[in-house]
Amino acid sequence: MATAPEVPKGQQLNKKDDALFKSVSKYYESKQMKKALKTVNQVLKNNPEHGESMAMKGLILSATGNNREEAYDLVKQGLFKNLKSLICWHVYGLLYRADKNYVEAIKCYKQALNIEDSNLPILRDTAMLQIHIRDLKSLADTRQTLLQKKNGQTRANWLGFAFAHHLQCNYECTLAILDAYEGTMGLVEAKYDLSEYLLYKILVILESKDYERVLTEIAKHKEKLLDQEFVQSALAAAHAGLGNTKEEVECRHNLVEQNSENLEFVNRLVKAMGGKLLEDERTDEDIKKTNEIVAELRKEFPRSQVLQKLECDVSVGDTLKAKLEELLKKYIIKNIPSIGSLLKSFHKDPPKREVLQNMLLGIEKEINEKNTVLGEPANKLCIVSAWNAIANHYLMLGEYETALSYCRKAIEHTPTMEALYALKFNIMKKMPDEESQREATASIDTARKLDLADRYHNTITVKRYFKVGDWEEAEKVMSAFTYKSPNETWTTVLEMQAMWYEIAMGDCLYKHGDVINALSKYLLVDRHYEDIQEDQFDFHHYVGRKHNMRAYLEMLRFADDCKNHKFYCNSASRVVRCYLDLHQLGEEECKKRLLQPFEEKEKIRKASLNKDHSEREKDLAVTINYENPLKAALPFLQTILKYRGTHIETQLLAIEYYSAAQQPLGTLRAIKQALSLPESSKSVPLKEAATKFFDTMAKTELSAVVGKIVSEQKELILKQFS
Amino acid sequence: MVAEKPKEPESHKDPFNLGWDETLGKPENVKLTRMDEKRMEMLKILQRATYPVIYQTTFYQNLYSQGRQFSWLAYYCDTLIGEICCRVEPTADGGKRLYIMTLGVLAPYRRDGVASYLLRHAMLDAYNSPAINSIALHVQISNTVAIDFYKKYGFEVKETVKDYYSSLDEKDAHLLMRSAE
Repeated sequence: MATAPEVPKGQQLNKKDDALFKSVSKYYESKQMKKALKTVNQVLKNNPEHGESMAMKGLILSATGNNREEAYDLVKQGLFKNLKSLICWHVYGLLYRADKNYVEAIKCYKQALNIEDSNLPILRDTAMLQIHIRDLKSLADTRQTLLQKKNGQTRANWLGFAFAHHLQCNYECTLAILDAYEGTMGLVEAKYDLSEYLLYKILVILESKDYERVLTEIAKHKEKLLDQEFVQSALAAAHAGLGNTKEEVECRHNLVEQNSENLEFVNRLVKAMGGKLLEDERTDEDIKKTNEIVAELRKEFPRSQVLQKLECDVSVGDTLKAKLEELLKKYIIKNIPSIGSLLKSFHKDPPKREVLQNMLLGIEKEINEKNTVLGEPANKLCIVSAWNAIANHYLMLGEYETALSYCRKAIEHTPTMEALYALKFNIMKKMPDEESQREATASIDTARKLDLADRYHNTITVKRYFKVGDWEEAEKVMSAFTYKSPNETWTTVLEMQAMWYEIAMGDCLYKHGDVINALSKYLLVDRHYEDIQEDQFDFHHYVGRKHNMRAYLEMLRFADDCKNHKFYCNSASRVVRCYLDLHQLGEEECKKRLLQPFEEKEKIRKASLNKDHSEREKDLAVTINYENPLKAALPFLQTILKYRGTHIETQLLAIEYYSAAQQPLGTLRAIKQALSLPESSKSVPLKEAATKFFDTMAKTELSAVVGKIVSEQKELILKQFS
Repeated sequence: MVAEKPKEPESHKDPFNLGWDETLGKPENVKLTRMDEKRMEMLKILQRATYPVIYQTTFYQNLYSQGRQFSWLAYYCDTLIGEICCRVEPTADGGKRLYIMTLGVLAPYRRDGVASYLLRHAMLDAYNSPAINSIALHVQISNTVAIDFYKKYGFEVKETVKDYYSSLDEKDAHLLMRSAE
């Protein structure tokens, strides 16, 4: 719109006041809030009905104080006075944005754009918010609008436009945009920026599966491309797509040359050369061929530990024996502590277990009789190493007493080795009697004390204390690595986003029956994930300047699915559990179950915090929804159904939830999804849950439609359990 | 945190004329370090396994604060297997002596020269410290193995103390000494 918007009566300022008003925004932007406030009050004194001033005052208050309600009120008042004011709508949008209410903020910006559709800052802000909430279609429109404006042709806008289409998987469109961008603005000159841009373009072409074009583009720009790892991977993928096995092998070989310890590189190379790994179906010929391939690679990369382990993984029979001997010899002679986890990975393949047992017991015998390990002279620690390995082996087989006897032999021989006490802990924690459980806790604590600088054992000990219900001791042990005062341990945990600690503490409190405190710990994990999502925000702007598109894309994709992680899913299922308990027991009963010693300690701790720490804690406060626990639990349930739907525990939880929410169709769906999982018809809890559901339905009044569905499904479902 | 790297004793020569070579008889796979504040519990467990006497917590606190400059820990392939713990004491004549409180090696690692290696380092510490005139220790009179061991290094029985080890069966002890000039 070329004409200026109509200014309503009473909204026009005289020259002097107008100058004052303009200075308000200058003061605001340079963060001189006191001056800004004083000036805007001056303007309002002379012009009490000036809407834009009221809005600016609201903005200043929101930035300085914590009185958000007053700020919003003022802005809304100002807006009412002058509905066609660009400033008012913009300020309103800024308030919402600061409160992370992005949807509303975008609406306000849209209104502002209705008044003046060429306002570049507002357009840019809108684009940032749109990508943050992933409103990709609108984002594309906004970026296109930006490009059509005078001064709107910037690299950042072009790239933003390309992203908008790339994220929607419109590859043709994206490439067309990139071509137009190159035509209009030319390529960037700086070395890394140029390389990153070209590699981004190649990434888009690769994702669009235009393999021929990937090859031509890489050949065209060869010297300019600086990330050789990506180039080789892209070439390999392109050749694989086109069926050029020889070239694919060459590229994958280059990658392994660059890094022969990268398991992914090695696996892909072996597969490209025609080998078949353990998880694939293998014939005898496959096995023979794979062994040859891996042996050849080992000759070429003799120091690669990954290749050595892979060779053991894929071998069978006599080859397996020979290769395992070579590997175990190294571990036992050098007393490598990670032999436990090495054995664990071999145990996953049942045929290897017997071979391992005979080999390990043989090594023990050999050390005792000849003082050699598979022919190599043994040092004094080798026998301890052998006993450690044997104990780990029996631990994994579930023969705890045997494992323990070897462990004790080792400890008697060399009682100063931390790893042995950790091993003893691992064994005894599986033994069900109380005495063993206590000894297990004492054991891991000893391991920790042996080297107070070892953070790993410290963490394991903390987890153990939580597991046995001793939250005080857990915090004391944790504070060895946080600040000196135990009161500051919790603040540090929050700052570090140490979600394992929060979940472990929650579990401990839940075990004591304190649902409310447990829930507040679990909800913190969600709170941290909100922050993780928020962390994206600055990069929307940054990528336009710095041209690191591939990294930006990875970040966006990560953020989309970041909740698919065991920390989040574990905490989410616990949140649902707690809200279900809250729903069944009621608020009053749960408040009765608050753990008094914990509550008292919390009071003391909170009172002792300094101002900074208590501010930070308030920032990370969570709210429990007492009025409607089931409603609050639903988003968490939906997340774990999305990411952990193939676990039967998730579906069982869903059945419980929908039954509690009295939604028979939801329960039915959960039962059916559970039944689609392998082996689920043998699950006793599932059968019980399903039977209980149908019994309840028989006694409930259902609508005609629902009743029909339930009775139809009843036969089908109950039949599957017989 | 790794224990601070110790300064090697200044001269690897043979100040006591006992036939020592440059390596001080270093056994295979053995490294010596000074005490580490974070690993006192490890030292405690080692001593509990090698001595009939159990020392109190105060012993370890004092040991770290006063004794760490003159004590050594022996590691076999990165596992603690031996120690010599000493402190500096004033003597009646106004001088100072190095007092060896404990010297022990885990059973499976004995007869390999570790104890000798530890003792030689301590003796060199005493030699290189101008204020220290002598080295001393107490040993049960029945512990002939230990007495013979120290005699090889020039220690002599200075006197016998009755009821020195009040908690053990064999209560009497010899005081062994040698000069450190």
